[in-house]
Amino acid sequence: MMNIKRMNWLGIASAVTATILLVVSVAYATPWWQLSIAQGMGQINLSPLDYRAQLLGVPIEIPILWFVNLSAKLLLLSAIITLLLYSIVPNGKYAKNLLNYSYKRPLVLVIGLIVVVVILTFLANVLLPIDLDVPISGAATATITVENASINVPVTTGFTWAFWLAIITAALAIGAKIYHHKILVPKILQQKPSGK
Amino acid sequence: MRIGLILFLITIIIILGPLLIGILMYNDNLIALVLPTQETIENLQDAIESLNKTASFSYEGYEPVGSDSLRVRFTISNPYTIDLTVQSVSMKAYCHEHNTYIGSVQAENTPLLIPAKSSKILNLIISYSPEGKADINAHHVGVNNLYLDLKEAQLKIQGIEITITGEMSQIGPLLIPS
Repeated sequence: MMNIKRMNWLGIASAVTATILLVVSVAYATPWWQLSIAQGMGQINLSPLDYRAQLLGVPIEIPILWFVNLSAKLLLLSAIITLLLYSIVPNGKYAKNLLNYSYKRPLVLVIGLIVVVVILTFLANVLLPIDLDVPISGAATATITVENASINVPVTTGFTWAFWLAIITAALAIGAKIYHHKILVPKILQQKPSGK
Repeated sequence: MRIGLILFLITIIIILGPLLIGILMYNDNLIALVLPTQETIENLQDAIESLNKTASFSYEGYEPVGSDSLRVRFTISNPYTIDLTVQSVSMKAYCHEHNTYIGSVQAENTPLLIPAKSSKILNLIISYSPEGKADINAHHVGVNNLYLDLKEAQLKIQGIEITITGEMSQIGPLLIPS
């Protein structure tokens, strides 16, 4: 039975923010992390749900990333559905299973993105044949000296608002897990007298 | 317990399913699954090859602007596969014959968008310095004999700052009317 007072509002809030995240990341291709070389000379727009990159105006497509993004999209979608189902009836028969399935998923996506960004910036610093220290978030300048000219190419990186929305979503989902115990207490208290 | 198993299976299907589909689709060439597509590589090669071509900068003409400055026109061509925006240009102009500092040079019509593989006119304004004006008045007014050397050029194109240590010499001849 649905009981508004007994709903897990943190879980519902997490499902709502996760839905917004899914829509903006997929429909509007809003990245969670971005790397820009000069002004439009090169760009990487990255999120667990979408990947877009271009260098000198040429889109760089890597097929496996499309499949990885598809997995992440389905993972987030399943987390939204299960978290919402749990949050509406947190005392239901399968509530704990649904909660345990869903609450870690947003955090997994956030951690996954951070790991990829760390690896990507590390590889850029190691593999690029120019003196450039690409930050995880910030600005750097690559200086290239050619005959009769010195060229400074600015590189900027940073997490976008969508990343912080993902952090909020993950925090709300974990909050829903913690809050679940508080919802359970009245149920246990109700059961004790009838058990005696 | 059963629902837990179902959710576990859903997780496995969600994570591995798309990857397995990818592997099946690229079964005959798995390397192509993890590398940029052939089309991407070819387009990138073309774009990188175009970087070997340098943007050309050719003198077109000039016109005096009042008595204290001069407008010099250049055609600037973009050989690359992307549009370029010239945001700023500054340099110093010297008299080629007397090595006198004629004045500072600034771009007039920036930001200037130059579409990929096309050309645009860039106007530079030379503002005479006192010694430059004196040199012009003493040696070049009414005579078609002023040649300029442009030095210490600094350009900002598409956010990229370029400092040119070489010089463009003997721009001209320029006739300064009396």
